[in-house]
Amino acid sequence: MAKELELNNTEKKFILSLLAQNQRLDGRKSLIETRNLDIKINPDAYGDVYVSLLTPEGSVSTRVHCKITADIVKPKDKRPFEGSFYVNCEINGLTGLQFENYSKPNSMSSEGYYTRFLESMILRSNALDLEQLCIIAGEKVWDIRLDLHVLEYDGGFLECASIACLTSLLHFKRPYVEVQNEKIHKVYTDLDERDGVNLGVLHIPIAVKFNIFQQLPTEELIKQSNNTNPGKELVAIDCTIKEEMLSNGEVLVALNKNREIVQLDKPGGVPLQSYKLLELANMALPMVENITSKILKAIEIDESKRNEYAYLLSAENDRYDG
Amino acid sequence: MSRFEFYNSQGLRIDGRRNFELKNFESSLTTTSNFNNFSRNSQSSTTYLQMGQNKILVNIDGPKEPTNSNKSKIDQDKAVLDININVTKFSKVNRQVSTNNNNSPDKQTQEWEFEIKRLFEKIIIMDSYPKSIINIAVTVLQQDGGILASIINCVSIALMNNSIQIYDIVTACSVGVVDQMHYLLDLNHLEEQFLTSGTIAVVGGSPTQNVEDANVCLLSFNDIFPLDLLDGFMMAGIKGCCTLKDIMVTQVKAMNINKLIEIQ
Amino acid sequence: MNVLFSKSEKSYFRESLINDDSNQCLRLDGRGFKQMRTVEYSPSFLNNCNGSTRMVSQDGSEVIVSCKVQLLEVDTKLDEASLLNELIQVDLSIPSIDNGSKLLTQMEDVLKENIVQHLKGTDKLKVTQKYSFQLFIDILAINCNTYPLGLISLATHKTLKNTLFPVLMSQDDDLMVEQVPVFHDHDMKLIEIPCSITFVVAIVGDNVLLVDPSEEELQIADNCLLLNYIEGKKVVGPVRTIQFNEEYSRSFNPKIISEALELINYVGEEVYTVL
Repeated sequence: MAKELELNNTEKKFILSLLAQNQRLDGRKSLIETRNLDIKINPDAYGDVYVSLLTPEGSVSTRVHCKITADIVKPKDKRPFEGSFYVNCEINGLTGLQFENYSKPNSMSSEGYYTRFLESMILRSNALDLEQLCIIAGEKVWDIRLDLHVLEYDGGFLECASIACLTSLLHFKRPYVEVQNEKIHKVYTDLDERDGVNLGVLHIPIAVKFNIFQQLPTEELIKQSNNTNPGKELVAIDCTIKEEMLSNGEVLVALNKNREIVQLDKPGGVPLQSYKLLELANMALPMVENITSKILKAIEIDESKRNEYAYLLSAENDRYDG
Repeated sequence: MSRFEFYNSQGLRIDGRRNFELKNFESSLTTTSNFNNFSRNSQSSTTYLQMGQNKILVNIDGPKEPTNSNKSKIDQDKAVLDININVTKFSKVNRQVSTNNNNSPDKQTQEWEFEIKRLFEKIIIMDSYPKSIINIAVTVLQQDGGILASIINCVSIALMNNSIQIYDIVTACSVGVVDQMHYLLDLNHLEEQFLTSGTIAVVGGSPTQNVEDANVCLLSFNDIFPLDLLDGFMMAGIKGCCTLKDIMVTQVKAMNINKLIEIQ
Repeated sequence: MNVLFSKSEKSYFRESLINDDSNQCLRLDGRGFKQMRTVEYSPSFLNNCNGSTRMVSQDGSEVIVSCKVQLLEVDTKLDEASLLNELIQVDLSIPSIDNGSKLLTQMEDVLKENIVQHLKGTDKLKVTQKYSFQLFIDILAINCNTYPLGLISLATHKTLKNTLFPVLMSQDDDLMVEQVPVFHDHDMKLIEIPCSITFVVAIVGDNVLLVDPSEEELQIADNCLLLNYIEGKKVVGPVRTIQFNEEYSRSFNPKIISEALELINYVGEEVYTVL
């Protein structure tokens, strides 16, 4: 049996007291400061993305690799006009020994829960237009499979994974399919021959996780609900794995920049007052806007690199008025 | 957006309720302690909850010493919670045939298990049962929307019936939104299917309390929904939960008085 | 199940049952030898199902039986036995026993046989020439402390008695004309599906017979008989034996079977009048 990560009492106390002073173990200056984001797109393929979170010193703390593959399959009988989408997440001993063994095969680990959160975030909100994936109704549709590999893990899995998912969905190009007489005539698998088609991403949901650290014993928290003294609990964003282990509850929020909640989950944990939840949801919005623009920028840069020589082939010319 | 009119101009829903009206809530306790017998399981009792057309059975075993198979899980300082949810094949109108034959619960059920476990780990006073395990077995006999909320309510009642120490009572309620302006409480399956909906659970809510101060311990929301409506959504849900708590307390009291009379 | 008793406990159980003076014989829970455990039941409590029963026994075992009816297009080439096999589907699940265990399969078979046997030669499930009703009987035993077959078969019998079937509106002869059967929107009718009740009888010693034995009694019984009873025909075959312990199991005198038959004839009749 692999040994799980454990913290000794001194370290626990130290981290918690740091948090109480609005400091973080990795040198960040506030509880709501995120680590630096780095998005790398593989220049030789489409939809092959590495996303990493960098500590203030610049070393990599969490790294996720995301790759999309597309396949042509027969659709489900119930939904003949829709393609399918599936998220497969690999976290195993490679990432950290604590993921080596699960206690019960049928129960869900928290990472499994996050993966499901991601999948339903994209599916239920129609972020990926499944109807665009239909080739011939009832016969042939595209099956999009997204493989997530966590290469290095130091907390912040949900943010990292959601950024990676969306970046690769936005970046991926599926081969163009020529259909004649209700039959597939030709699939242009070679993207040099004919350019691929982008997936229909209708909006960009980004997930943010808040970790809650309770300051008072649970009993007082529940009984003492009438006075709203602030600072009853600490809320931190983008926690490292050590902080995650000490946290008493979490709130997962997925938003898009149109001020829409795509998914909101508070799976148990320490009770939180409703106004606080509202605050958190609103706090996530600027972060989401920030991340969205970063993703779009990364894709734009990649696009311009690929089309470096496009202007030579272009028939566009400068036009003059008059 | 939808084919049905979920909330008509007279303020009635498809099943005839008002928007803030809860479903019929009826819980009962089947316990065998009134039979005079020697059975080992005479303490164990089943709690049965009927919330509208949702029918749920909860069976709590424990706190007890862990058996050999789960001995590795025990905690020296507090109790360990184990939750199993069994959604029966006949619980929906059409019989469900599971696709995987080894009878493992589907993803949705696993997600519920995860959420409910996390929720009650904070509500039960785990410190008072060190080195022991509490098994909670939930059986869903019939479902008609808002099943997660019903499960939480039923577990909450069952914990009280089994005299397991909790900080306060948890109540849960599902909420839906019509036309981005009307909030509906305690949805049925049609409403759940076509409306944006979510589930909210509150611990120790009371109608006299300021709504903003209610302690929300679970919130689950899977549909796309404008951020600005979250406020109203939570207010509606919390109100429902507080009403529900009153109903629950009265019913549990009545139930246990009956039990006492039967024993004597 | 699987509660271990010490040797002395077991011998105490046994000795209290076998005594020369029959007045001093006592069952552990104070019942008479011919007495079943008390049951409480609520019929038709699931309205998504065509028939359902929830039955709670004195020892806390609880059984929920649901029956769903579906329309099935019948393959006319099948013979009657395999057709009935197809039409009756029994699915038993007990949380403490994993699926596919021998004990479960055996119980499922007994229950299915109880129904199929008496449906032979009748057209009760037939809707039209081409279509038949298919019954899905799902059984859930929770909190189960002992061998639950007796309780389950009682509950199944009760369920089939209150199962409602939709009423056919269209023609019943569809061999000539292609048509899908049409049913009345809300009118339902009762079809009496015959189903025998299985009784568990434990044999202890030479001449002691216990109806509806508890777990303790199963642990010390020499052998157990499974007997089926149906109204009118009294006890019907097959008679099965089953053992639950290794320590006391031994063969028994064949005469005792006829004693058991008489006993069940008597008990079965009483149970029927009560139900």
